[in-house]
Amino acid sequence: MTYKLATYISLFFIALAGVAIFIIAGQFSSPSRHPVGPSFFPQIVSALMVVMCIISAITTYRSTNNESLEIPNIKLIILTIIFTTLYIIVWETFGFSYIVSFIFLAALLFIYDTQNTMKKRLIISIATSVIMHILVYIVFERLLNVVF
Amino acid sequence: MDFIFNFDFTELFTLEIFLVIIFGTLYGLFIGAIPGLGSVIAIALLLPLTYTMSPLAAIILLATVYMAGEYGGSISSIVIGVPGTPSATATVLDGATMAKQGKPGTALGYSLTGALIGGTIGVILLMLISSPLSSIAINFSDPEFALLGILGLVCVSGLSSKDINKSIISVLIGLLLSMVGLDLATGEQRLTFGSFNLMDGMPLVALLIGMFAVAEVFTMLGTDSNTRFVTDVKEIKTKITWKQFLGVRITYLKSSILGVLLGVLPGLGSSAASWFAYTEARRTSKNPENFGKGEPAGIAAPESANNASVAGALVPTITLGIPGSPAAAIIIGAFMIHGITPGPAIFEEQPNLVYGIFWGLLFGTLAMYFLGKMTTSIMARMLTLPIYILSALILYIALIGVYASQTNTFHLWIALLAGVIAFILKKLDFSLPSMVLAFVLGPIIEEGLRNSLAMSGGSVDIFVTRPYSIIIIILIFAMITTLTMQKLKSKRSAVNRNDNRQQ
Repeated sequence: MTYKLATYISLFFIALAGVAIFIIAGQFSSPSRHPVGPSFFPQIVSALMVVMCIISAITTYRSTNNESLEIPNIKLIILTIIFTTLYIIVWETFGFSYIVSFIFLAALLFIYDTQNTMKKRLIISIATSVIMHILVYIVFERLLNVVF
Repeated sequence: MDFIFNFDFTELFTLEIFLVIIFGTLYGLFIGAIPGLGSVIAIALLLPLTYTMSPLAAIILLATVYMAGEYGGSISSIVIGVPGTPSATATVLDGATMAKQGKPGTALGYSLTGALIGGTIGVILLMLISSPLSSIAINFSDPEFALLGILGLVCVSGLSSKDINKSIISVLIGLLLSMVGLDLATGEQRLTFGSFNLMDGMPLVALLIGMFAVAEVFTMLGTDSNTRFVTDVKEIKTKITWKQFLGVRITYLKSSILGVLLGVLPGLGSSAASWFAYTEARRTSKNPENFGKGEPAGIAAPESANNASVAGALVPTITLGIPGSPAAAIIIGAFMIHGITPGPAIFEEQPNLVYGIFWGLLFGTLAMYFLGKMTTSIMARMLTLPIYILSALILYIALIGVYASQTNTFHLWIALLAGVIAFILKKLDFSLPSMVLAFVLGPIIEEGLRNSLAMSGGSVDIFVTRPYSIIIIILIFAMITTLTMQKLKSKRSAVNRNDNRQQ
């Protein structure tokens, strides 16, 4: 995907959000004793945002920048988002668990390491995760009295 | 001189304050030294921890991290030629060159000494000008605060991204995010979509950690995950001789004062301060052709300016409640967590807190010097950790930190979503610092505007009939004009360069 195309797509979604917010803000009630109600500022800002998106789209169209937009290791990033999503779902459903957190961190360390042998990756990810959880327990639960 | 004669120094000499200064300094040095992270991320990650601290300890911790992070950035700038923080970019030009000439310790010595001098001068000026400034600011009312907020947004949107349109859009996104929650004047729910969790507004800690730490993890994953920033670390003695110091003493002084003055302007931050100082040092040097070739003044200028700008940024933060930089915007978050509103009244309501912050920051600057001398070679060794370990740890600590701030799993979703969106926007050259500043300034601007219009019965004359408002409006127009002319000048230079190349 080119930088220009990605910019157009992002500006489209931002402008769409601006239009939606403008409409939603129009439904806020306006008390008569205030000259400026709760919808005033959101509507001004969202309208400006739509205008700026149009201006930005025009300047992007006129620009000669045709470079492609690359996201290296996109699979790793998507995997991270999926793992993190699952981790948060488990956390939200069952509460915080050191075992689940340990597995989460160890899994991340394991998949991110692409060059060591399987055995070394396992050892590093488990050892690092153990050390981190000891530190988290000491710093957050014992020192700062955070209840997870 | 209330900060000397009317301050209870026993508040400062406690174990808690001692520990936060030491921890804040070491943590700031470490995070600052890692390329791509910087003071903003360092402070954002630590913000949840400040809930359980006293207000004084919390603010001193974050301010110390800010100060130490600015020096920490120069460690990787000099040792590996990659800026550890955006404000250490100018240091690469001469610092990395001097290191390659076999003098990394000398380069780091110039940097650390500059950080000490800049930080100290900055804090002294902070002590001297904050109180008089707050005496002027006490006359400020809603119109002035609204206009100051707008001035801050104009500064940051003009300076923070290479695409001005996207900078402005980033500001507008930040303003919209600030409107989520209950409208304080009417109790109307705005943009909460029925979620109870959003009644208090977008959670600041989750948003900041998502935008900076989580997004940065995705950026780091885009590199070769087994890359280590440094593979070979020799013993580095951070030191300059008295003669070397004398050679750059005027540069240190001038750049420190410049750093404070630029740091005071809302939205500018230490990056702009370090570049201004570098270009000024080169312009006034007897040997400008030596810059970029390991010139000591090329290290002394940006490093003293960026540390001085830390104190400069705290001037409007504490006296007006207007953040002087993105990092200062997060420090305002710490004030809010403890139910304290920075602004002109803080000198009357919480004088001990304010003077305690000043003195704590001064001691933090001294701690940065001595701990920096002892630990620079160790910090350089930390750069041997592979990126895959750093990125996993940062993501994990970010999530734990977000949860620890309010023990609400909803905030984890906000942090993840903010991280994904911020990563994409950053790739497309939108400006995250603009967004953060607008998020913090949004409520100030909206409340100021609405109260002003309520006072004047809907008439905008209130903004042009008050003397301080008129001065601020003039400053806004001056800033817009300066930025427009700079953009036109750089466009013309680009066109001329193209024409010359074609000929």
